[in-house]
Amino acid sequence: MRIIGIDTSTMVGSVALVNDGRLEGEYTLNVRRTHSERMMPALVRVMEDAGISASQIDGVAVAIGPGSFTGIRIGVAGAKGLAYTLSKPVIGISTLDALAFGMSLAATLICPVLDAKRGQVYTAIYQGAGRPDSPPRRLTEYLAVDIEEVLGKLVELGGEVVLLGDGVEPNLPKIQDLLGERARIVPHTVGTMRAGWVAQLGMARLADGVLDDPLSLLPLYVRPPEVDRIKADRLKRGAIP
Amino acid sequence: MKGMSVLFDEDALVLGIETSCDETSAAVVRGGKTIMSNVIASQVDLHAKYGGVVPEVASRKHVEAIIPAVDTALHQAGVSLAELAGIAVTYGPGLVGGLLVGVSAAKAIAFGGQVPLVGVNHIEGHIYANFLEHPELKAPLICLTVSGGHTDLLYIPAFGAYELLGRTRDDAAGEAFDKVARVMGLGYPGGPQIDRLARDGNPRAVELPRALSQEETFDFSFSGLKTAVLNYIHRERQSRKDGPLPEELLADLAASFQAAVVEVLSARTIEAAKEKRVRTVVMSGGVAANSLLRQEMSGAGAREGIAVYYPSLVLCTDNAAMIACAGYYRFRRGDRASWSLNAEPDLRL
Repeated sequence: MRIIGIDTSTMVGSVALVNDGRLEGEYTLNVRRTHSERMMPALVRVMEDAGISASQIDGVAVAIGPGSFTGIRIGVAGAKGLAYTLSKPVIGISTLDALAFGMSLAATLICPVLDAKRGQVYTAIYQGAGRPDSPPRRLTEYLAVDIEEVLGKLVELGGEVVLLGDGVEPNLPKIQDLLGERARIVPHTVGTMRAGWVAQLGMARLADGVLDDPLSLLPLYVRPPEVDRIKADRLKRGAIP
Repeated sequence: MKGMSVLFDEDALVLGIETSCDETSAAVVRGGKTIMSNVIASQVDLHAKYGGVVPEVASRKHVEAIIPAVDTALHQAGVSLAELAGIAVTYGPGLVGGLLVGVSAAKAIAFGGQVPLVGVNHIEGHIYANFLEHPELKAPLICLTVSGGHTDLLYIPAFGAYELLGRTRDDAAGEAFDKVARVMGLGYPGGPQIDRLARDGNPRAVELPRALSQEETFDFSFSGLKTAVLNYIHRERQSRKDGPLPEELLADLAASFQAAVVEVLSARTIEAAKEKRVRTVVMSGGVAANSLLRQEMSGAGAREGIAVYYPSLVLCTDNAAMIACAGYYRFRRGDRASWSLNAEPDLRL
């Protein structure tokens, strides 16, 4: 079984090929250029370099968010297009699940934190099993909250916490303030999201037969669109042009 | 890639994808002229309650609707992916979130299916809507593209070559229709509503400005006209102590507003044709569906010996058949997109 993994949820863009639990190739870029320009060239590059043709693919796993709305749509639209065209299954994986999975060996709480703009973070809290064959168990909903809220939950739960993701650094003072020694901050080079993690989780879902449909897979936004503000703006502009 | 050797002959099948505004559309067109399918998933009801397109809401709907639209278009055409000679996708201008969904899906389908890909300018697509129904059309042409996002007057000396003669300096014509309809309480989209109401009104009842009529220009401006309509409504409402406006007054206002827009559009378009010594005018875009604009432009053209063409109603709206058609001609010229094709919201012709 060979699976493509795709992640475009944050500024990190990553594509990978995983074959029966073995990473065959992975390309991860953490730059400002748009995912629209980066994703397909990266995928084509990895497949060519690994000598794999499209017909040798058994499924496409994609990180569906939460994350940048635009980013996850690029990933999901691309993954659906690919899976549809190849008549192969698509598997949507939560970006937070994939980040937590990357820290599978931790037997502590695991808390991926992504910058959600507007002073908030996308996050969820997981209990790590400390074993590579058992993915971390999610204890909360997928959240879009102020950092204080998730830190408060972590204080309540007690014990050490492994923290990773692009929402950690901007909130470091608050994290250290509230969790102190209990916070285990994963270095960027170790904790950067990798599509191999997405593909590995996709592989497990494929084995369990829990698949998504290329016609209907949707991003996991967590947050609704800000239409109320837009509507209010527009009505105001309509009245006073 | 297999596609590189494909000849884009008269039987070549092109899949078109269009997601630049609030319609998710996919179509299959044979040989640049025969529409095999043209699936349009409209989001108009979704945006109606906001009185206009909300970009984030549109983007979310596009990513939901894109693959079903492609799947339905292929099924209705009775065509498999393997039979496609190429895929054409709108990459601008438009709302960036929607464009990105179409471009991402199109690239993935092209890669997975080993089919060549080409990017199409949305405005060019609207122009080619005319060729779908009138394959006999020949350059040189003058083209007026009028929609909710665009008001462009173009000189087309030869296929694929465009000279922008004029464009709106503020609101697009369709935008003016939407905004005026909103303050008149007519709902969204405004164009068809005003068109319908205007049939019962007197187009000379309310005196409204014709912008830039003193200037030697092919540009347009509709914000002054829009403001005049709004001021008129405020005055009338005040004189009725904020009571409702009578139906006849609204019909007269709709007719007068529509006449003002149409007069400027048709006069400047015919003037451009005369200046460039062109005998053919084509119209495109959603506002080209306006019944008065069709009638006035045809009449003005006939008086000057200029033939006026416009697409059928369904091809005036955003649709992927026109993108497939424009893409077919791009393919024939040897155009191909790379895997790094990006959305360009401000793309110019």
